[in-house]
Amino acid sequence: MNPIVRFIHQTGSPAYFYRLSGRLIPWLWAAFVPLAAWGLIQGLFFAPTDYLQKETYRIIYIHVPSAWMSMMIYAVMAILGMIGLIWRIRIAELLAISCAPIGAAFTTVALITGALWGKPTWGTYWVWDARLTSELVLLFLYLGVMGLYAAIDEPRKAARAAALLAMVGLVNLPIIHFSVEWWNTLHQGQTIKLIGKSTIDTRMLVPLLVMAVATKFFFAANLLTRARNQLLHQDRRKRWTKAVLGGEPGIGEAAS
Amino acid sequence: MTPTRKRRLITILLVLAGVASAAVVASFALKQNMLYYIHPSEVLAQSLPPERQFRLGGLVVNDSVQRAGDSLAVRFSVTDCSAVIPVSYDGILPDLFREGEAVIAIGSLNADGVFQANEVLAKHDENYMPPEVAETLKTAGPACAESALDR
Amino acid sequence: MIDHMPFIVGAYAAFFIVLAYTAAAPVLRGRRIRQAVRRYQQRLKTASEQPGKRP
Repeated sequence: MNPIVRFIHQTGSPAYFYRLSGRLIPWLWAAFVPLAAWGLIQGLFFAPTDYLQKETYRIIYIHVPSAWMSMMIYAVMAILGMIGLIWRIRIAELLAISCAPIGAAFTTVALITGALWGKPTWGTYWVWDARLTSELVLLFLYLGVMGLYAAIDEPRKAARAAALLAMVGLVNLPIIHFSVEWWNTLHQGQTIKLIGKSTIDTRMLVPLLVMAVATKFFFAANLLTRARNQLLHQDRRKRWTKAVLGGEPGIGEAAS
Repeated sequence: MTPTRKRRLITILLVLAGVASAAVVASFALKQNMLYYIHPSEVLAQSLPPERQFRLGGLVVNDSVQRAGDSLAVRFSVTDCSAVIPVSYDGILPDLFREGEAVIAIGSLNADGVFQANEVLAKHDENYMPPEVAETLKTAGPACAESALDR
Repeated sequence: MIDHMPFIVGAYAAFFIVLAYTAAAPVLRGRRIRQAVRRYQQRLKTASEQPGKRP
């Protein structure tokens, strides 16, 4: 059997996925914590002050990584949803639906920090320009995916419906990204460019990129935690759960 | 890939293509409405009726800011490097309001062609740098940087 | 000139609160699910040891 296909089938087995994710999660947190701590401390205390915005620009270290995550998680959710739709892989469906609350959280953070950054610099918390509006639409898309999934009782059907909505919403991602180029907006243009020179001083840029990497580990750890919860809850009456949990009630778990 | 999966993939791609083209058409149709502000030369070209509310965006002309001594009233000019519109405003300006930087003023033109703003927002650019780097860059710069407008 | 400090502090507070909730909620939920599953398995076990009595 093709090794990739074999890997997918193995990870697709609930017990295997449950065990593997359980082993991965601590390592992902272990990568997140020092990266985020370093990035935030460097960004808040050691990166130089901005010539125009003074200290206020330091909101960039949480605002921009959150906004990037809000878009990346959406793309991941739609791709996993598509895999689930085409190949009917249950783990892909569970992962896709588990993306939604995390993406909604990052979108919320991007919107709140953006508003709190806008007031002292632009002079307003909110305007209905193309960038801000399309990011708000992204939050509603996440909420729509979560709502649709919750509204259908049969989990596999619910996951397919939610995946379809997620894929349709993909259209919004290029709109968010290019809104500052296509339309006149209050929001400024891209600072970090994949092609060409970024318009931020290197000493300011490094903590920002570290934060961007850290939030990806946060996402990965959180995603696996949510997906295995969902899996265990749906399969609570199945036999494989006995093998992965074992033991008496409460053993290995702090009472809560 | 089995025929069933291929069929599903094709269906999904067709749906996506349909939605994407609908979005493209819609955003072309809405292009004007999606603009958050218009430039002074567009304002003068359109000869908007007085008292009609709109958002004016442009650079604050250097040395154009005049403050009244005893109140918050302020007058300045906004340009897009080809046309200039005088703006009058009575209120607190945002902290990043600077001559030579971009602003967005919300209000309407009066009969004398002066833009009466009831709100002024500062539009900063996407450049972040320490003060000493900004100092070295400042020496060489055109009087009106058109590129500063649409970033 | 307004004081910018409350805005910076507020933004970071929002970041920490939202992400802490996002991280903690599934951990607590997982704990509850695992306890429920274990209790269910325990009931099954007792039932199979004492035939006659239904769980």
